[in-house]
Amino acid sequence: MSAAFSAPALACRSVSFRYPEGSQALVDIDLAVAPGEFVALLAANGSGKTTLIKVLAGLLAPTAGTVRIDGSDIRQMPAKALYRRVGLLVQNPKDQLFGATVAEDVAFGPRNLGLDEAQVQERVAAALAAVGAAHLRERAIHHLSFGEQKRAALAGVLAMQPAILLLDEPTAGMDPAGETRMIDFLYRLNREHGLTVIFATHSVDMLPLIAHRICVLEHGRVIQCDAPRAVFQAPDILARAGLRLPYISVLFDEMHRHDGFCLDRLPLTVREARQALLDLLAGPSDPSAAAAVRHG
Amino acid sequence: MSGGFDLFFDYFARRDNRLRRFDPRVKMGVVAALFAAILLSTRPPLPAMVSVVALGSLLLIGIPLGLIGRRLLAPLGIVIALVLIQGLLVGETVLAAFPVAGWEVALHREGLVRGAGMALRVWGAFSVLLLFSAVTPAHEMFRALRWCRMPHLWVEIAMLVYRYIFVLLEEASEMVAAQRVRLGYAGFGNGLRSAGTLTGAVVVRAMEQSLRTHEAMVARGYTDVFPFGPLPPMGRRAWGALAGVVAVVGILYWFLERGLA
Repeated sequence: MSAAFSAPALACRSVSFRYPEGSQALVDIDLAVAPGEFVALLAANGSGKTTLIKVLAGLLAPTAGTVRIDGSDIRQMPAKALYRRVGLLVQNPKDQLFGATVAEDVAFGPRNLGLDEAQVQERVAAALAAVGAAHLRERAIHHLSFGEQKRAALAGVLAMQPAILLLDEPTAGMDPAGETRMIDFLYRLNREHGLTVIFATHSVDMLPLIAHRICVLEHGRVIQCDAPRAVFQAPDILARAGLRLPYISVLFDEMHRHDGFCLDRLPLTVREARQALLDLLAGPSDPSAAAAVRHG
Repeated sequence: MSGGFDLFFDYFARRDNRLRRFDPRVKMGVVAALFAAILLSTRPPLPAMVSVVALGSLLLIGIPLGLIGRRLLAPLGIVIALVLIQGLLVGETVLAAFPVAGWEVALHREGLVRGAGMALRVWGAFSVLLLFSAVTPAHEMFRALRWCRMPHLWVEIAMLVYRYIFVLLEEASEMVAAQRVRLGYAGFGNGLRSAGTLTGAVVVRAMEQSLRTHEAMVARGYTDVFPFGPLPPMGRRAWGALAGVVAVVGILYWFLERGLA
C-alpha cells in the first residue's frame, strides 16, 4: 500500500474460495485497500477476478479467511450497512438492470436504503447527470445501447453513494470513446470525490494512467501487488499470468532489446513515451554521448 | 433483431399520441369496462364494434398493419379452435359432413354460430388489449396495477418477467442466428433439433440470468421486497375522463344489447 494512504477501507486476510463443484478459485488472498485508493486487479480470464470481486462484495462467502470493511467483518454486517458502503458494478449491465425504465432502475438502491422519495429522486437525478445519462431517464432498459446500459448500471450503483466501488471489467465490450469516457469518469470519482475503487480487468493499457496499485492474479493467487511502474518493470511475471505490458511499453521494450535504445525506465503511457522520444531526439550535445544513448 | 422477435418490441407504446397521454389508470379502467361489456354481451354488434374501433385506432396511431396482423395471429388460433370445436360438437343442423379416419365428422350450424359469437368476444377483448398495450408503456401499467391494489409480489414478478422477456429474446435471437449460419435450420429434422436445443439453452440461460440478477439486486440492498416509488394521486380530470368513457361504454352496451333487441 502506498505510504500516502491510511488504515484500510477494505481488507481481506487469507481469503480462499472453492466453488461447490470443487474448483479452487481463490487461494490465500491478502489484500488491504486504503480509503481513496485505486487498486486494479489485473488477471487473465479465469484467474479469479470476478470471484474475488464477489467475495469482496459479500455475495460469495469465502471458504477460508475474512473480509473486513472499515474493520468490520462483512459476514457480521447487515446488508443495508454493507451496501451503503460498498457498490458493485457487474461486468454485464444486463445482469444489473431490471427496472422498467432507467429512472426506476436507478431508484431501486436508494429506495432499498429507506430514503424518502424526495431524496431518492435527488439521488437519481444526480447519479444520471454524473454519468451523462440524464436524457435516458424515461427510456426502457431494452431500448438502450450497450454503452448506455453500462452508464445506467453505473448510475444505479452511484445512487447508493458508496464509499467503495467494486467494478468488474467496467470497460469490457465498450468502444474506444466509451472506454475513455468511463476511465476518465472513474478517475475523477477516485481523485476528485475520494471514492475507493477496486477495478478488475485484463486490459493493461489504461491502468498506468489511473491505478495507484496493481495486483496481478494468477490461478486465484496474488503474485504481485505494487505500483504500476514496479509491476510493469517485470514483464516475465505478467507473461506468467497471461498478460502483457501496455502496447506503448512493448514498443520501447522492443527498441531496447533489438535496437539498443537505452532508457532509464520503460514509458507506460503515451505521454511518457512522447517525452522519452523527445529526450532521445534532443540528445546530449556531445555526438559520442548521443550514440551511447542510442546504442546503450 | 429479426425472425419474429420484433413482435414483442414495445417501442410504439412510448411514441407520443393522444391515447398515450391519458392517465394509465383511466386506460386500465376503460379496458376493464370494455372487457366486462364484451364478456356480458350476447349479440355480435358490441364486440365487433369494439374490435373495429380498437384495430382502427391502432392503424390511426401508426402501428404497421403487418405488425398488427402478426400480433393477431395468437388470438386467431384460439378463434379458429373455438369455432371448430363448437361447430363439431354443438347443434343438430348439419352444414357439411366428411369422413376422418373412418369417422363421420359433421359441422353444425348452431355450433358454428355459437362458436363465432364466442370467437368474436375473444377477438374484441384481444383488440382492446392490443390497443392498450400499444398506447401504455409497461412501467405505467405496473404503476396502474399498484394503484388498483394488485398484490406487491405480483407486480414485482410482472416487472421482472417483462424486463427479462427482452433479455431472453435477445439471447434467443443471437442463438438462432448462430444456429442459422451453421445451417441449423436447413431441413425439417435439423430445424426441429435446433429448436429443441434452443429451448433447452434458453431455459438454462434464464436460470443463470436469474442468479446473476439476484446477486446484482442484493448488492443494491434488495431484501426480497421490491421498493416501489409513491403513486401520484389521480386528478379530477382523469376521474372525469374515466367516468365519461365508462358511461359511454355502458350506454353502448345498453343500446346494442337491449336497444336493438
